[in-house]
Parts: sequence; structure tokens; C-alpha cells
Amino acid sequence: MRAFFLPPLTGLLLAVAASTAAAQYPGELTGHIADAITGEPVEGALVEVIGTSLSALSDGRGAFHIRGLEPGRLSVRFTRLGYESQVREIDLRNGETTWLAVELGARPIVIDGVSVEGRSDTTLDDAPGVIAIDRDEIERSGKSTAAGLLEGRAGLLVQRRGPLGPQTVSIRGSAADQVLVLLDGAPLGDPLTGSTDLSTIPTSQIESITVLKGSQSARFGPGAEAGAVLIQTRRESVPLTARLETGSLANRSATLETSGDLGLAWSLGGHLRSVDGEFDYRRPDGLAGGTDRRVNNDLSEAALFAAAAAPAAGGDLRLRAGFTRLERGLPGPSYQPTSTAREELSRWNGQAGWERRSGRSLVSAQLNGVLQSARFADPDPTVALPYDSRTDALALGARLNAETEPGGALRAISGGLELRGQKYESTALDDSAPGGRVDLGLFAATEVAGKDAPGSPRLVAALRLDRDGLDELWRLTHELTLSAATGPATFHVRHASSYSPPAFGDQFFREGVMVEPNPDLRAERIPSDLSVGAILRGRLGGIAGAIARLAIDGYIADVKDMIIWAPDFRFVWSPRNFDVKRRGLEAEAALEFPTPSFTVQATYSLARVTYDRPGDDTVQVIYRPRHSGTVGARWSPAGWEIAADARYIGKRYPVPAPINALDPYWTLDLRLRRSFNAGSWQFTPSLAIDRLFDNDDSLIFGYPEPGRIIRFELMARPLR
Amino acid sequence: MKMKLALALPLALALALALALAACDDQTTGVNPTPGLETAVVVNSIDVSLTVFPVDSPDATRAIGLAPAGSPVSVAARGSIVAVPLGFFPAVAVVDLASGDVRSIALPENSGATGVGFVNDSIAYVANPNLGTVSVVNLSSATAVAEIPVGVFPQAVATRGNRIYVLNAELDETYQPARPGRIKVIDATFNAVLDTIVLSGLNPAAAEFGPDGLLYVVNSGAFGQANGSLSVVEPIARVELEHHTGFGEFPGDIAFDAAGYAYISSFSYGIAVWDAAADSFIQPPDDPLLVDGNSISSGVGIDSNDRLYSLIAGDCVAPSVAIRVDRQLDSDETIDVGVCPIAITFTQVEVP
Repeated sequence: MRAFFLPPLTGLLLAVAASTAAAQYPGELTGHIADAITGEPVEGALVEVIGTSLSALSDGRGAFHIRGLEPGRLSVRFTRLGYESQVREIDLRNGETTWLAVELGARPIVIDGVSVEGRSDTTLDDAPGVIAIDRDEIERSGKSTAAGLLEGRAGLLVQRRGPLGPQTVSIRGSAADQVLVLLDGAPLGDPLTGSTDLSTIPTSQIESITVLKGSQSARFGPGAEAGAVLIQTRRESVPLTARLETGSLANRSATLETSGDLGLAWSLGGHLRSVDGEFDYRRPDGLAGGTDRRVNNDLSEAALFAAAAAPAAGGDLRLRAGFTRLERGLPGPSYQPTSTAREELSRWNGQAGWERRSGRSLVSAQLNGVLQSARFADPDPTVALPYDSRTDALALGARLNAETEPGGALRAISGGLELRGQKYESTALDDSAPGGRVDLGLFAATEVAGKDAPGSPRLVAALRLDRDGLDELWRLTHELTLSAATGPATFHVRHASSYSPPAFGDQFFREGVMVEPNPDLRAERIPSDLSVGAILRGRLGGIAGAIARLAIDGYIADVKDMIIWAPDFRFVWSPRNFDVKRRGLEAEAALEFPTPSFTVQATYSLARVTYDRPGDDTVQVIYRPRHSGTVGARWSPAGWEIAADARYIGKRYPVPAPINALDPYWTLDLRLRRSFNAGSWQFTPSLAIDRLFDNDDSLIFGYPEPGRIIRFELMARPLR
Repeated sequence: MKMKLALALPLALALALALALAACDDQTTGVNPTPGLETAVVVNSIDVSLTVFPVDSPDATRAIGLAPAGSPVSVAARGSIVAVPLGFFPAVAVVDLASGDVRSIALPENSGATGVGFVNDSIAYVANPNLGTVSVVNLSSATAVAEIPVGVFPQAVATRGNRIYVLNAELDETYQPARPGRIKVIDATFNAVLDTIVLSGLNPAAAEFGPDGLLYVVNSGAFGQANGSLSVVEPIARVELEHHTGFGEFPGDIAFDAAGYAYISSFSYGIAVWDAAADSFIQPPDDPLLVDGNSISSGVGIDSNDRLYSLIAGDCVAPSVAIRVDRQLDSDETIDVGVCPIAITFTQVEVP
């Protein structure tokens, strides 16, 4: 690891030198405005630099550009009819161009329907149970995969099997298959397991991620039982950006992106990454101590994206496509490692979206698709028989949506239909398995507000009727959200229902030795998901003008017929239905000091997720820490950006009993970043250190972490 | 929570559990060093734990976690020391019941350890079915000091004096019996295989010395074939004396009472009762002993007061129970245990 200190140090010294040499002249602000949920560009948004006369309107690609700004701390307001306005604080440096990605939350119910409560300067983060991550934050994070971006978020738990292994997300103590992951609107879940491996989505492909916590079936249909993760792939890049990264575990990556406009706005990008992945780790207690070498832990990855936008049929047409290929070793648990298990995955994804706005009405249509092929093979496993399993899956979707703003108390009405078709071919499935399924969803929503004034009570109601293509049942799910604001406080009460059908593997897994599928499995259901929350936000005049934000959200969302694989009395493993109680709360607090730019924030999550057994509902479901949290700080002195994030994972149980508990642990990540100009280029070296104190604890027993990981990235893009 | 089908671990766990389950080697071996409080020790397979309770105070249960991972299916105890092989976690857990201390002793990688037996206070023999070996474990130094090749799929161990009787299941790569089972006899003095006893039954899974000094071996047979049987072995001459069929679907455990009746448990029918002296069933599989009405028994044991304990596996997700019956076979206690109880033994724990 020592060798990696040199380039970061050199880069940072370069940054310091450049900062002292920079000329003194006005800066520029440029960026992109997108719809927070759909990810589509927002045209005609007004961008105002508060306290100046400078402003601009975003163009058809959502881009804006303001020149001649005095360096320093600036407040920039973004407003557009139909969206909640937003105010962002920026530090504009001498002679530099600051790029800003802004996502506006829609005021009316929009395609993917998130209501945003609060006052006029409320951001999407102020919506209950919503996490929004934009491209700017993705770039700052230094993370390599979608899973990395979600780690440490309140209410979310990323379950990872080693640093390069499969990584799934649990929302509010759910199982991974209860979270619907949509990539440009198309479901991404493994057809066999229903869960989504987020480690297969490189951040270079991602424009934004929106996480909606709590039951979302009324918005997104089956699978969104505990929440939904909406991933929008890259849609646009600056004219040219290049990134090189190196770091621990022989990590190497390169990214190149470009864009242009030939009457048709287009963008294109590619990404290569390889990680050798070998490291020494402490053997688990009880296995003679000492260290061992983690082998078969390598990864290679290639990704491409392309996007284009053009006017069509009186509206705007957006196209995007992506390709990801990944190959990696699957070293298995440390107590039963294998040096020969491999995974190969290739995935094509595409989306075509068309939208036409006319007065107070909007019509949109979207087609999406994902074609993926995954192969898992181990010709020489340490136990059991060799296997070579291949699954090809094609998911196609179409969504039509219409909405209007009638005016008065009836703020918005929307409705539409969604068709999802999935076709599978897998050697892991029994011959009796159907080759696919077609699901239909009909949805409608409305928003009613008391008065046309900030803070007035607002009720959002949504209903969705889904027809399951396998069991041919119709299922109705709902959502009701009541919100109101007074002074610096916003309150909400939300009630929703949801369900998740069994995965194909649960029902049609090819029967093997002591393993059998369960065709009679029932769908998991959350008939009553109740959440209550409040957000307080305001300026603390006595503390250097600090802005404080406190959000608390509590929930009760018991799961009926949760699907758990377990052995029966014959020790034949199969999926079965069990009831699970689920309740908890999330608290987030942040304090932001404008001058100097310094933010400190903390989150805490309580997730009481217990088996609902007669006479005993106290036993926590395996690998669900009841307590978790984060503490972080971000400081931007003189053009630097320094961030530190500590994450706490509480005690958890590896077995379905309050015994053999795994100890809690903390990790600390550190990031340093600095931009400087050289000629007509802007360079941004960054240094990221994960697990600064070399902590090798892991959430799941037997999947060791390598401890301290250092990554250095150099990004270059031309000045506009 | 749905299984990641492509991953080998759950399958391996299922296989390990299923195949090692037969190795319910719930014996108290050797001579207990000191008299003390008779204590029952139950192995719970899914939550990887022990449930421990004095037989005279069965409500005073104590749960002891063994490891964060594993698939234990057998136990041996000597005085206050209990040894539990951890299956797919290649180690044997050693528990001091007096202090409550738990430590693990590493076994060879990929051992799949199941059966275990003591020859003295310091040495235990552990069967490694995946490796076809038996590990000699020194409890004092907490090391596996030797590894003895014994053949195909050794899954249970019985000991008497300095002889170790290793039950080879002779399973093929699909975990089906490839041929009748074998018993390898090891001389503990030299850690060498003395002899091989060829059995008539398939998949020998558990063994217990009867009051007549003979070794009674339960052959589980092939799963789904209802061909379980009982072999009677002369341990000194090292020959199979008798082979009795008709023990039905996958019998797995055996315990003797003072009258010389063998109680043989099965997941499929409950408990068969065999009169070792008369070589005949008292209660055959088609007319089994149903403890408290349960037609499933995942393990049996008999304490020094001749009371029978039957383990109820339950749904293997929630904690279950052990049911005790008195000499009239009436149930007199229901004892809360862990998740998926699979083996029980008794030992004398010295009272401080």
C-alpha cells in the first residue's frame, strides 16, 4: 500500500501550488437541472444568484450557465412552475467554473410520484423517507458502485459479501428481495432470487439514485414492498471528462465521457476497471488464528453509456442506453473458501422517454428494457458438486402517464398504466418453470391542498391495481400521505400497503440434493405500513448563521408471509412463509455553517425486525443490526473539500436466536478533494481512504474486509 | 431472504446438515472423572448453540452459543467438558460447563466435522467426512495433533477404552450410499487403523454400546427408501454379529435404557423401540412410540434415572422443545431448547 501514497501526495501538492498561482478574476456557474424522480432535464427553470441581478434559464437539456460572478459564498435559487423551488449554497472560487447538478422535486404528482412537502426552499431530502443522490454527490463520493453510494444512509443497510462480492440493500430491515430496484424504469432484480446485486452497477453509469423508503407498490407495483431504488443512468456529461483511479488491492480504473450537440444533443462515456483484490485477513476466531490470503477476489468491469435528446412529436424525446460487463471471483466464506468460483455478467439496458407538456397538463410515455446474462460456475468447489449455472433474462416495460393541474384545492390528478414483461431462461430452474411473465399495473393519484400557500395541509392519495402474471390475481395497493407545515416544521403521516411475489427460484428452483422449491409459496405482503415524521429546519442566528435540520421518521410495517429459506424436519431446505414484525425510526440531524463552509451531520436508525412467533416476538431477524448510525463532517476551506464519515453497525445475530451475536463496530472513511485550473483545463485530484483505522470487521460473518483501502483519482475536464 | 441459488453455501449447508444429521453421536464416553450434578446437553443445529440443564431442574436451562456459523449435529461430553464438531465451520467447539467458557479448536480446512468421542480427559477424536479422516484433538493444547485416513465419509465416532470406532457412511458424490457402511477401528495408542468391519446396512449414522457390551449401529439407509436397519457389532472380535432390517425411513439416533431396550429416533415416524436381548421390536416403525403425540423425533437420550428425552426439531426456524417421559413413557416435562435440536447427551458436572 505504501506505493500509493506517492501519487496522491503529488497530486495534492500540485493542487496547493496551483491554488496559490491562480489569477484573480470572476468565476462562472454552470450546471444541469433535472427532475428529481424521472431524471429528465428541466427546461425553463430560473436560476438566480440571490443578491445580484444575475440569472439564467435552463435550456432544453436542463443546462444553465452564468458568467461574471464574484468569487465567494453565493446563494443560488432554482425555480420553475410545477416544482418546488430550491436554494443551494456554493463556494465560487477565483477564476473557476463551478458545476452544479440540481434535482427539483415536482410539486404535482409526477411520473414516479414522490410528493415533496415543506416550505418553498425545501429540497427533495426534505420529503419523508426519501434519499436523493445526484451526479455531483456521486462524483464527490469516490465510490465505485451503486452499493457503495447507499452505504451508511439512514434506514438502509448494504449487505456485502466482501469488498468485491455481491452487495444488496435492505430498507428498514427488509430482505433484499423486498426492495425494487429500477434501472431507468426497468426492474433489475435477479429473476431467481428477486434481489438486486448493486455491486454490478458502476457509478460511472449512474446519473442519480433516488431511494424511496417504505411501501411503494402503489407507485411502482409488485416488489416495492419495503421501498424502491430508482437508478437513472447517465444522460449527459460535460463536453469532455477523463478520470484515472488507482489504489489498494491493485485497483485501476479509467473513465472517459464526452458530449456534443449536432441538432441532437448527445453524450457518450466508457469505463474500465480492474481489481486484483488479494489481501491478507485475520482468520475467524476458532480457526487457529493467524492470517490467511484472500484469493479469487479479483474483478474486471467495463461499462458504456450513450444518451441523446431531441424534440419529437411536439414534445421531448430522450434516449439512453448502457452496457455493463463484469467478471469476478467469488471466494466464498473464509471458513469454506473456493479458489475456482466465478461470476460473469453482461447487461444491456435502454430507455426511451417522451414527454409533452401543454399548459397545465403533461403526457409522457416510457419504454425500457434490460437484457442480462449471468453465469455462476465453480468447477472445483470445496464442498458439494461442481456447478455451472446460466440465467438469461429479458425485462421490458412500458409506462404511460398523464397528469394535469386542475387548480384550486385539487392540485394535481394523474393516472396511467404500466406493462412489464419478463422472459427467463435458466439452467437453475426446473423444467416446469414458466418462461416468463407479463404483469399489468393501473395507477392513479391525486393531490389535494387546503390553500395555495406554503405549509397548508396537503393530501396525496395513490392507488394501484396490479395483475400478477403468474398467479393471475389482481392486487390493490394504496398510499395516503398527509403533510402540513408550520414555521420551521413540516409534519407528515403516511399509510401504504405493498406486496412482493415469490421469486422464480423460490417456486421453480431445480430440485437438488436436500433442496426443493415450494410452488405453493404465498406472496409477501405489508398490509399496513404506517409512518409518521417531522422535519425541523431553520437558521440558528446565534451560531454563526448556521442552518440546522432535524428529521425524524418512525414506522410500523409488519410483513405477512415473509419468504425465508429454511430446512424442514427432514433437513430439506425450501422457501417458506413466516410473519415478521418490523418497526423502527430514523433520525437525521445536520448543522451547516456557511462561513467557513462546514457541515456536520449524524444519522441514527433503529430497526426492530423480529420473527412473529407465538408468545415471542423479540428475536431479531438474522443480520439486521437493531442500531446503526453515522457521524460525518464536511469542510471546504479555501477550495479544498475534506470529508470524514464514521459509520456504526450495531450488534447483529447470524442465527435466528439471540445468541452468537457479532460485536458492533465503527468504520471511518476520509476524502480529500481539490480542483485547480491549468491552462484551459480543470484538474481535480482526490484521495479517498476507507476504513482509516484499518478496521476489518464485516457485517456478515465469514466475509472479511481488507481494512484500510486507499484510492487516488485524478479528474480532468476542459474549462468552458 | 430468498436463497441466492447460485451460491454454493446454502446447498453446502443443506448437504452438510442432511448428511451429518445421521451422526447424532450423543454419547458420554469414558469414565466420568467425578460424580456431580447430572446435566443434559442439547445441541441445536440451526442457531449453533447448546441448551444445558440439570436433569433434576429441567426448567433451569442455559443457552450457550458455539460459533457464528456452523452446522453442529453431534456432541460428546466428559465431566464438565463438552465437544461439538461444527460441521461446515472447520472447528470443534469445546465448552466448559462449569465456567461457561467456549473455545474453538481448528480442524483441517473443509473437514465438515460431525462425529466426536473422548478417549480421556485430554483427547477427543473427530470425524471429518469431507476429508475421509479422523482428527485427533488435544483439548489441553487446543490443537488437532494428528489426522488419520479412515475411508469414505466418516460421520460418527464411538469410543470404548482406547478403541475408536469410526462409522464410514460410504456415500458417493451425490451423497447417496454407494455401498454398505464400514467401521474403522482405531487403536488410540498408536493412532493407527486396526481393522475394518464391513456392515450390512447402508449409511451407518449413530452407534451406542448396549448393556451387553455390544455396539449397536443405526444404519440410516438411503433417504426416501425406508431401508433403515440396525447392525450389532462385537467390538473386540470386530465383526458384525447381526443385521436387523425394518427400521423404516431414515432412523438417526439411538439410546439404551436400563432394561436393555434401544430407542431409535426417526424424523419420519417418531421412535422405534427394540429389545436388544430378544432381538425384536417392542414398538416397530409402523407402531412407534409417539412422545407427547409427536411423530417426529430428531434425537433421543436417556438419563441416569432412566427417563427418555425426545428432541422435537420443529420448523427449524423457531426455538423448539425436548420432551421427557418417565419410565411409564408418560411425558413429565417439556423443556425449551434452541432452534432445531438434533442431539442430546448427559454428563456429570462437578458442583463447585
